[in-house]
Amino acid sequence: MKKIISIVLLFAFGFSSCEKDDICDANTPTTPRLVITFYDDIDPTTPAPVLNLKVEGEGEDTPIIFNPGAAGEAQYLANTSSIKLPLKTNEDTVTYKFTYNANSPTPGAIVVDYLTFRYTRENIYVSRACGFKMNFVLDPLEPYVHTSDGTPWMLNITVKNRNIVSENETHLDILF
Amino acid sequence: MFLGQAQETPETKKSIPEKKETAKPEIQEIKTDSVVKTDRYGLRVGLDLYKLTRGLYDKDYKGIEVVADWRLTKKYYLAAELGFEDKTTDDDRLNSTATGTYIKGGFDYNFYENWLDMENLITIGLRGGFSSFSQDLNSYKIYNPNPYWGEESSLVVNQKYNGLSAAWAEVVLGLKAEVFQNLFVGFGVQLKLLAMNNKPSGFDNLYIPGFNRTYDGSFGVGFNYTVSYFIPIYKKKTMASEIKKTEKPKK
Repeated sequence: MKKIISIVLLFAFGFSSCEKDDICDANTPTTPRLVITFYDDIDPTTPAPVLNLKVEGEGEDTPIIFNPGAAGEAQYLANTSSIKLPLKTNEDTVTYKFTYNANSPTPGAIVVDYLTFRYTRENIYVSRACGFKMNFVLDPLEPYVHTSDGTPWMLNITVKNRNIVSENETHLDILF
Repeated sequence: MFLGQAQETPETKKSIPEKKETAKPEIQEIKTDSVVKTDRYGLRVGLDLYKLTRGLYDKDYKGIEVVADWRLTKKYYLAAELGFEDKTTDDDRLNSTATGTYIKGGFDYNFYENWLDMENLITIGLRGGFSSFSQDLNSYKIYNPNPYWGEESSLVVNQKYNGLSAAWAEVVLGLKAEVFQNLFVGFGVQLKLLAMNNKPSGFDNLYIPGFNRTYDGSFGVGFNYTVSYFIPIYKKKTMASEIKKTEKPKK
């Protein structure tokens, strides 16, 4: 009799601790960012790192943090050949300010370009813990608008992949 | 505790004098197997009080479950549950409501050895369950691991998904004790395995009436607390050690 009751209790409580799927796993692919790869015009086939690139969202106070470990201004400066930019999930366009050589002491060396991305959005169910994610499709006719304060440092922009569903692939190539 | 109480029902007392009359030397009594046991057969119907009362304190829940069993043999019972549930699940990123009915059918095996005319049960059983339901996705959030542009608030959608269904198998452990004449109080736990799950496109079945909350795998759990009434229909008399007697000629 006691044995049976203990089995029943074990049965009941053994499964009450099964609710492990309430936290969204960081490895689950959710809302992707736009992935940009840079190429130097000297060698347009191999990705090349940019020099102290600072990227700010229009209307935002802080630039995008590329180096979370660094202190001060250095955390905003990218010196890599590829960057990831979050798109707005509540609007169909987003504008970023790209400052090349941002920490240069000579003002003439700093070049500022602007890119406005145009896209459509789609909400996709992921799981109970993660809720929904958003995927984007860049506009087929005018995926971006490129402007500059002076002579643009971006020489050529190519859309590699219009469908922004994953961060494992490049969506945009920029030649500088 | 319930079992202890149930032993003192008037029914069981009746049989005690019988026992005394038949044999004076106690040892002989066991050998001759002259104790007559009466097994009552019939239908037991009841309600799940847990589901019924949960609606009083949980504003996100409304439910009812009718339970019934029919005694087939000494140990086996045909068992079924029929229910309705309306449950709103409020997760961090999703809020959805599942509404629907379900039916479960199968059998229970009573492995509790009653003494005399007691009719308590400790059962293990199997069920097949089927639910037909709808889901309402009330609101959700977009999961954005890089909220540079700020975290977005919940989107209210009220998207309805109709015509959903699911089927599952259950292992049921149960306990029923006769607390008054013909009135039983029962407790049961269920381990469920989802066999068929007809999910809506672009969403998931987060709660299935009768199956309860779904998990990443196909397992589920359930619980009920029942009060039921036994309607006796016919009786069968069996010798207390009938089994021993019948075995002898086989040799």
